[in-house]
Amino acid sequence: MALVKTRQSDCKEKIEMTVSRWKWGRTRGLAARFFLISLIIAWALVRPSPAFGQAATGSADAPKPGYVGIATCTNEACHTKQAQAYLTGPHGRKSSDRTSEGRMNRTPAAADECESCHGPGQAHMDNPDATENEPSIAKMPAREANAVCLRCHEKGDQANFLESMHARRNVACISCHSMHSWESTKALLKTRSDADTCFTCHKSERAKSLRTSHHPVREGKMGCASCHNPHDGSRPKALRAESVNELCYTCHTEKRGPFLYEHAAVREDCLSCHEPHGSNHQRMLVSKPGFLCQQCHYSGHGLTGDFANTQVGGRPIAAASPAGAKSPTGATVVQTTLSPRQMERSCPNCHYALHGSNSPSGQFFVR
Amino acid sequence: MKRTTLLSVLVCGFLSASMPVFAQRAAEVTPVARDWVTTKATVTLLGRDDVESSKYQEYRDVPKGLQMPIFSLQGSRNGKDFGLFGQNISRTDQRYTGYANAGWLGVAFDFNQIPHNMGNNGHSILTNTAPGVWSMSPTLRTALGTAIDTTMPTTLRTYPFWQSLFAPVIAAAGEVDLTSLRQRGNFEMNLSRNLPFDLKMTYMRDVRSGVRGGTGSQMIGGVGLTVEVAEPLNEVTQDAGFRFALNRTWGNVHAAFNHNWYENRQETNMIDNPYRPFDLPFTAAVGTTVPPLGGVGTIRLVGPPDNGANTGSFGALLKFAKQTRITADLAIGQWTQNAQLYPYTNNSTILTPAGVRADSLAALQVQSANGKIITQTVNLGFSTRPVDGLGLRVRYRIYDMDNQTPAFVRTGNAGSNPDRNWTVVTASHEAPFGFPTAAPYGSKSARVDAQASYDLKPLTVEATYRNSKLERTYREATEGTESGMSVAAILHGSDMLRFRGVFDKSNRTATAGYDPATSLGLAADISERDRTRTGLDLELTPNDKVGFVLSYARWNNDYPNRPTRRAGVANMTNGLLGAKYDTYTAEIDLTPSERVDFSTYYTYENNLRTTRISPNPGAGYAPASTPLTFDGSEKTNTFGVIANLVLVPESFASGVGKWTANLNARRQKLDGLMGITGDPNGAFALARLAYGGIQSIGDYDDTELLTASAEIDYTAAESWTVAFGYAYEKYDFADAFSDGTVMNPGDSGRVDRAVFYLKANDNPYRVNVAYVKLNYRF
Repeated sequence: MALVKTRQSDCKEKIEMTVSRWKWGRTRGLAARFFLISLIIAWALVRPSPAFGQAATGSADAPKPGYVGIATCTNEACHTKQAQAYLTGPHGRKSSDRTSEGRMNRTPAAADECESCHGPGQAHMDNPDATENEPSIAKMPAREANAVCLRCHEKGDQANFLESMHARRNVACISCHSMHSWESTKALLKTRSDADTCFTCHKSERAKSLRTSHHPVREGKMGCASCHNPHDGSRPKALRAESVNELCYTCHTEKRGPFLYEHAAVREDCLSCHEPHGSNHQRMLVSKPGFLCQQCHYSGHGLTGDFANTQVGGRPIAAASPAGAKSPTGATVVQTTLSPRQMERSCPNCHYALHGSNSPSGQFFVR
Repeated sequence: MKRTTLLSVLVCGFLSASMPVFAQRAAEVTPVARDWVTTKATVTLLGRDDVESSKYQEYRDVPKGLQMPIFSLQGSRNGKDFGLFGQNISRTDQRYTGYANAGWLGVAFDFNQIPHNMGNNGHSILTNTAPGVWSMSPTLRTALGTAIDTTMPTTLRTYPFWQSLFAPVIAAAGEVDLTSLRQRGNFEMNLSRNLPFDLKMTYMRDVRSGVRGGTGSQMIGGVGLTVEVAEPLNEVTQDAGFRFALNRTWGNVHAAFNHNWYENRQETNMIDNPYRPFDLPFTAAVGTTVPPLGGVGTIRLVGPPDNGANTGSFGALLKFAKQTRITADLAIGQWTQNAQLYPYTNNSTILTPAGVRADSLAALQVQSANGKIITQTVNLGFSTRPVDGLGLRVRYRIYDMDNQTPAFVRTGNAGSNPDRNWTVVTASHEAPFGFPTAAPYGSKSARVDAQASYDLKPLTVEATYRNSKLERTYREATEGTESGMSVAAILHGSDMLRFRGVFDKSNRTATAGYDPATSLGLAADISERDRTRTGLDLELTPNDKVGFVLSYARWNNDYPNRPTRRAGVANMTNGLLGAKYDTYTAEIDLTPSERVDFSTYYTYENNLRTTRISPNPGAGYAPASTPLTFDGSEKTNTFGVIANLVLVPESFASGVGKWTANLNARRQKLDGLMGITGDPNGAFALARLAYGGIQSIGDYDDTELLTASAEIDYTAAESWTVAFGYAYEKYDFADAFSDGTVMNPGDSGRVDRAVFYLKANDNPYRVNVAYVKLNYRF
C-alpha cells in the first residue's frame, strides 16, 4: 500500500495517499471475492451427480480397423496413468467435444483418442513385447514426432512452426511438452514455468534472469512466452509483435507516443539501451548511465569533463565542499563519482523523459 | 475482506464440502473417468525476518502468517469443462486464471497483479497535498529564497551553506514508500465451437497505480538541479480485438484486429520550488559573482500523453506436399497521439517575442502534436523439403515505420533555460526543425534471408545468408545495409551424444546522409558494426543415471570508423567502440537411484563494453587530444544446485507415508569494473595528479544474490502432504555513485545548485524464512 509518512518533530503519522482511483486493499478484496464466487459457481456446475464418475468406455464410434480404442489401452492398467492424464488435459477435453450424433465437433483427429497420435494399436496389442510395434512418439525422430502434433496444431501460434529455428534445429515438440505428465498450468510443459523450459537450452538467459534489474520472470509474474512465441518462424527472434518496440509497447504503452520531441534511437529500437533479459544496471540498461549515454552523445555534457569521470580524478573545485557523505572534508575537493549529476539516475535525473517528451519545452527531455 | 477471514472461508468451506464427495468418489470412480473434478489447495503458515529494503519484495508479496499460495479447481462433465486457478490468494501479487467451455461458448480469463516496490522510506521535503501536487509552506520558501538571494557573492553558497540552510527542512521531511501496482486482466471469448471457423474476441485492461520516484524537474533555471518526488501513477491501458482463422487441410487464412488506447489520468505533477517562493523575471549575470537570476515558483512536470493504436493483420498459409509451405502476412498499425499540449512553462513572467505570456495556451505554436505513425509489415515465407534430408527456406520481410507527425520549425520555447527565460530558436542544417529532437524520425528495413539444411543421417548442417536494406528519415545515416551469413551443425542422432555448433557473422554499414567532415558523427545504434556470434553446446548422456552439458557462447560487436569529432586530431575516436559477451556453462545431472535426483550448474559470463570519450578542452577540462577509454566489464559467476531425495518411499497400504526432501540453492555474484585509462602524461591526468590521477571505478554496480532453501515433505496419503521449509536469501549491491550518499548531497561544482533525492531504501538485505505448508488434493 502506498503510504506517505510525515514526520513532525518526533511524531510519525501515517496517512493514506490519495494518489490513485484504485484502492489496493479494496481491489484485493474484490478480486478475492470474485474468485470465491467463481469457485462456488464452478462447484455448483460440477457437483456430484448420477453421471459423475462415468467410466471411459471408448469413443462413441466403434474403433476403425487396426484401431483398438482407449478402453483397450487401459485394460489391465497398462496405460491407465497416461490415459487418465490424457483425459484431464486439453486433449482429452477435446475428445469430449461431441455433437449429439457423436461426431467430433472441432477436432477430428481426436476421434481416435490415444491412437490419434500414437497410431493404430492393433499390432501392439497382438504382440505387446515387440519393440518395433511400440507406438512411442518419443522414439521417433524429431521431424516425424513434430509432424504428428502439427496435424492438428499447425495453426494459430504454431502456424509457422516449420519455419522456426526450433523446427529447423530438430527440436521436438515433446522436448518441451509432455502429453501425459506435465507440470505447468498452461501448455503442458515439462516444467512448472515456461522460463524453466527455455532455460534448459538458453543458459545465458537463465543467468541474466538472476540479475538485480529484471522483468518479473523469476517471480512468475510473466514468462518467456509473454514476449516470444517459440513456435513462430516468421518474425525475428520469434517475437510476439512485428518489432521490438511494438512488443515493448504492449505493456509500456505510455512510451508509444508519437511525441512532440522524439529520441531517435529510442523510437527505432528499445534494445539500443535495454537488455530485457536482465542487467545489473538500473532499468535493465545495457550499461550504466551516463556511460551508456556517452556511447552516442559525445557532444554537450558528454564532453564537458563532468562526465569524463573517474573515481577521484574529476574536475578540481576550489572552495567547494564535499559532494557527498563519503567525500573528504578538505577545503579543496574534487568532483568525484559522488557528483549528484552522476548518482541515482545520472543523466536522466534531468533528462527524465528520454522516451519522448510532449512538453513544448521538452526538446532536451527535461520535463 | 481480511486475508485471514477469506482464507478461513476458503479452507473450511471447501475442505468440509469436499470430504463426503471424496469418500464417494473413492468408491465409485473408475481409474479412467470422462467426468471428473479435481481440487488442489496449499495453505502456508510463514514466518520471516523483517526487511527494511524494498528489494526483497520488489515484484512479490511475502507476508507473514497464514496464506494460501495455490488453489485450483478443475472439472469436466458431459462435455462441459472448466478450470479455476488461484495463486497467492488475496496478496498483492495475486493471480487468477480460468477457463470454461460449454456448448457454443468458451471463455478464459487471466487476472494478474504485479507489485513493483522501488524503495521504502524515501524522504521528501515536500508534502503531498493532492494527487500530483507536492507543496511546501510559502513562508518557508520565502525564508529560504531570501537567504539564498542575499548570500552574495555566490561563492559563499558553499556546501555547508546549503546544508545549514536546509537542515531544519530535511529534519522535518516526510517519508514515502515508492511502490506501485500493475493490475492486468485479460478476457477471451471463443465462439468457434459451432462455427465453421475460429473466432475469438479479446479484451485487456491494465491499470497502474501507486507512486514512483520521478525527477526531471525544471529547477535548473538558477535555483536547483532537480528535486525528486514520489510521482503518482494512474494509468489505464485497454485493448479490444478479435482473431479469426479458417483452418483447413490446405492451410489457413487468418485475420486479426486490435484497438488499443492508453489513458494517463495523472498527466502532470505540480511541484513547489523549494528555492523560490514565486516566479522571478530573468536577469542576466553580473560579472562573475552574481549569477543569472529568474525562475519559477511552482514547476509543472509533464508526463506521457494519452495515445491510441489500431493494428490489423491478415494472412494465409498454404500447405503442399513435402512439407512445402507458403506464408504471406500483412500487418498495418496506426499509432496516434493528439493530446492538448501544456503551456511552455508555468512561469508567469516569461513572455514570447510577440509579448504573449508563455504560460498561456495562446503562446503555443500548435495546440497538439497531432502525432501519427503508420507501421506496415510484410512477411513472406517459403519452405520445403524437396528430397529426403534437404530443407530449403526463403523469407522476405519489410518493416516500415512511417512517422507522419507533422513537422514544423520551432521558433522558440522556455526549454533551453528551463522555466527561466525565452529562447529564440532558428533552424539549421543539423536541426531543420529547430531542434534535432523535433524531427519526426522514421525507419524502414527490407530483409531477405535464404537457408539450406541437409541431414547427413544424425548430423544436420545448415547455411544461411541474409541481407537487409535500411532506410531512415531525419537521422545522421539515412541509408545502410546489414548482411550476414551463418553456418550451423547439429548432431542429434542419439540420446548419448548431442552437439550444436553455430557461427554467425554480419556486417552493418551506414552509407549516406551525413557529412563526416561537419557532423558530430553517427550514434552507436546506426553506425557501422561488425558482429560475430559463436555457440557450442555439447550434451553427454552415457546412461540414464548421469548427464553432462557443456556450453559456450560468444557475441562480439566491433564498431569501426567511429567519428573523429575534431578535425586534425588523429586517432581520436568517440563513443562506443566494442561490445563483447562470453559465457561458459557446465551442468551435471545425476540420478543414481530412483530416490535421488541431483543437478547442478555453473555459468561464467564476461561482458565488456568499450567507449572512448574526448573531453572538451578548457579550464579544468581535458584537452581534446587526451581521450579517456572506458572499459566497462562485468564478470559474473552463477552457481545453482537442486537435489530431490526420497527419504522414505511411500507404502500407503501399510500405513507408511512418504518422506521427501528438496534442496535448492543458487548464487550469482557479479563483479563490475569501469576501467578508465588515458595518457598518464597527458593534460587530463596531470591536472588531477594531486587527487590520484586517472583511476578506475571499482564498485560498478556489483551485485550478489544468494537464495538457498530446504524443504521436507511428508505425504501422509495420496491427497495430503505436509511440508516444513526453511529459506535464506541474501542480496548485496555496491554502486560507487550512490552508496552512502545523502538525500541532499549538494553539487560541489555549481554552488548555486543543490539537489534533493528521496533516497528510498532498496538496499542490500538478509532474510530468513521458515514455513509449514499443507497441500491437499483430491
